[in-house]
Amino acid sequence: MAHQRDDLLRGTLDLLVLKSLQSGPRHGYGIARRIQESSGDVLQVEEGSLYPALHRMEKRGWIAAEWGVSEANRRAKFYRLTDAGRGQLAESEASWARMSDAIARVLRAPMTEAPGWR
Amino acid sequence: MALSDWLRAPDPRPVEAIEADIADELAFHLEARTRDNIAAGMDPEAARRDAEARFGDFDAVHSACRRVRLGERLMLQRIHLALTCLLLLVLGATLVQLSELRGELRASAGEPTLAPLLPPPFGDVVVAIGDRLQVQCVAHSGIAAEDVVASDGHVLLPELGWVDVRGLTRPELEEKLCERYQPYFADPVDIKVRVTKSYALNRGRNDVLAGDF
Repeated sequence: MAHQRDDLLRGTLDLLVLKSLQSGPRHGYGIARRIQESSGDVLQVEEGSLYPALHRMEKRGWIAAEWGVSEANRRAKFYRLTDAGRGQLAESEASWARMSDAIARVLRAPMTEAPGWR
Repeated sequence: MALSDWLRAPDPRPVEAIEADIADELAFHLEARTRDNIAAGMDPEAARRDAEARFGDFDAVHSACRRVRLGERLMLQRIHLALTCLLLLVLGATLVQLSELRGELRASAGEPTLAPLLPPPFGDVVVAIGDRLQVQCVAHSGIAAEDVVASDGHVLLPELGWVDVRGLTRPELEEKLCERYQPYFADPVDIKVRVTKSYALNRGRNDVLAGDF
């Protein structure tokens, strides 16, 4: 399957990470896979760039981290959503919905000739 | 960076431990991706290369994570130190003020202090039996006498005869003598009294008794 690589807007990455943690704790690799799979392989996070974002969100208190054991029986760092993160997720989702709706309206608007250019 | 991030306490662990955790977390990611690639049919070498390519520059990612975790650590520690020092200064100043206030309250409440142990002001000295008095008129040298207060509390003074001085303070006695001497002179009379006590300097008014030596 051909992969279409899209650059993710900076704020969008936070939203995707928070959303992927809504269903439960995941390690960084699990978050990257979740984003890729749930987007139908359209969105592929540059995997390394995920980690500074995770640490930044952890510092902000949106997510909390805890070391545990992975499915492969290997020590791994698991992230989970905090209450503050849930609030941030709701806010970001609403903001994204407003933005995408506005862009969609612009794109659906009928084309009219610009005045003065005949 | 948000204000709340600045105010959050820095990670207290040693820098080496934080760096090791970052490296371990990133290594796990590469291992997991390699394992999935192998499961998908890649040979181990290709699987590892693909994992590394997807991941990007390991060292750059490690440095970025390190900056997030430790970059503001020193600044935060300085802010914490400054705030702690400020808090201690405020606490110290408050304690000093409380101490001063406590002293003032004690003084106003009449608690024992060193002051009552000191001799009373000279004007409050009470004339008692046995005291030696020196009486002198400032403008009239003829009015001058020195006498010991007799057992009945009287002293013998020129022109006035026996005058009861028992139990009077020095200013009260001076005022009394001025009143008694004033009829003898046209100009205002100013009488000065010197009290010499042979046994006590600060007796109270209630201590003066007849026959007290």
